[in-house]
Amino acid sequence: MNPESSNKGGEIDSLVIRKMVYGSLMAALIAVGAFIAVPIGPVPIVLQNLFVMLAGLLLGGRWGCISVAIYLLAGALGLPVFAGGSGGIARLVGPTGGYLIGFAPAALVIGWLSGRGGGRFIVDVAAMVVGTAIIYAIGVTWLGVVADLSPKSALLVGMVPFLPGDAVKIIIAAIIARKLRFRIGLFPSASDESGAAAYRD
Amino acid sequence: MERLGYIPGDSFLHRLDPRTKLGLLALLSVVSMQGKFPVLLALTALLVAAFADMRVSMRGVFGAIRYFLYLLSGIFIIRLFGEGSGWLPQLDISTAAPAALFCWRLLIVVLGGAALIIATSTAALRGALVWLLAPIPFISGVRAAAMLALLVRFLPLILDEAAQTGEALKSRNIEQRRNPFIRPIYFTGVLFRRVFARADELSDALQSRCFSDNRTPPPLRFGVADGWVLVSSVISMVIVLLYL
Repeated sequence: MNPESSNKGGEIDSLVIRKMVYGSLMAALIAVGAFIAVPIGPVPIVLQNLFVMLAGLLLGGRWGCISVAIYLLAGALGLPVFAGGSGGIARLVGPTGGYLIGFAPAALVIGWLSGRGGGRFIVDVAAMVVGTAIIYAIGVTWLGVVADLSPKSALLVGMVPFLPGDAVKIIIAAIIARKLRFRIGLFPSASDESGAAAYRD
Repeated sequence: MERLGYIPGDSFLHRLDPRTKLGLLALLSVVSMQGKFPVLLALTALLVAAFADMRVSMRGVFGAIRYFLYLLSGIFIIRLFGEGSGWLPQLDISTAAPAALFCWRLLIVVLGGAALIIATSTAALRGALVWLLAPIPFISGVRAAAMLALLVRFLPLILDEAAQTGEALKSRNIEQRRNPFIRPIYFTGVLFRRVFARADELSDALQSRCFSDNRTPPPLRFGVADGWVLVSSVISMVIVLLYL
């Protein structure tokens, strides 16, 4: 949200407007993702962190992070956007608050790494593995401290059961990003330097 | 009421300053998560009275949040089954009361959010958010507030599109496909294409209306009623947290 992206009359650059709208949309999708579960075989997967990863992949690091920050701000203000339809500061500082806060740096790193890799499938997957590791590093540590669990128990309760689902989500997010990235038009081709600069901004 | 949205009116909640309403929502989310049965009963009565004052039927509100109610039923059922010693979940009637209390708390927060959305225009909400975010360095309050207001407006749109996408995929026999990955990929891919198309229309509309940082902020008036409401709410919250 760089003020320099507006002219003297305060009018905002069209690309920035589009990124703002997309950022709000991704924030709303992350909120709705907590409500939507799609069955894969007998197990339903919740789409929230899939959408966090897609925010980084589709909007880039900076706007992906802004999108998650707007989502967290809405939740902190009390709007019912967190999982289970809750909201409020209490939820952010509760046992699962670390995962929510970890979404922001994860989206930043996923977008940054993916942008550097020019959108290659394998780089996207690697970026999401790193992003997921960041979410768990913050989330599990937070869970251990708030719920007074040993590191091993915190890992067993707060990470291990979700890893298979996360692996599935990473593959799905990489496939969807491949299909949608150029439709959305924010992501440049690797050879387009001006486009690459716009994407990074 | 098909979707939650601002309904112009002259109710007590409509007349309050949007900053007061945001403060009340924050307090409501804290109190409802900590309060016990009598507190939840009082909060529910207050919300029902607020909706009656706004001339909005509870049936209409529940219709607008029906997807959340399905989710709430799911949460209730999941919490009803104890952890059991074996692999199969076991029905544990003793958990019914805590499960119902938990769902009631969530419902109160969502009804509070619905009351805020019905009684506050987007412009007023944006004005309050600009005021709240102004002291935070390195953040453009105008843009962050605009994004938050857009988020609130996008929520019902996405839920509608998700429901329509789910129905459309069902009618094309998506459930018969053997590859388990096909369903989430198609669902998310189609949903994203649809909602991003709507977002493109919105960004074109904002551009054509010269969306800028120098927008005239909506007038914010913090009146005597706002002061009384906030002070009494904070006192009530302290009493609930300390004694109830």
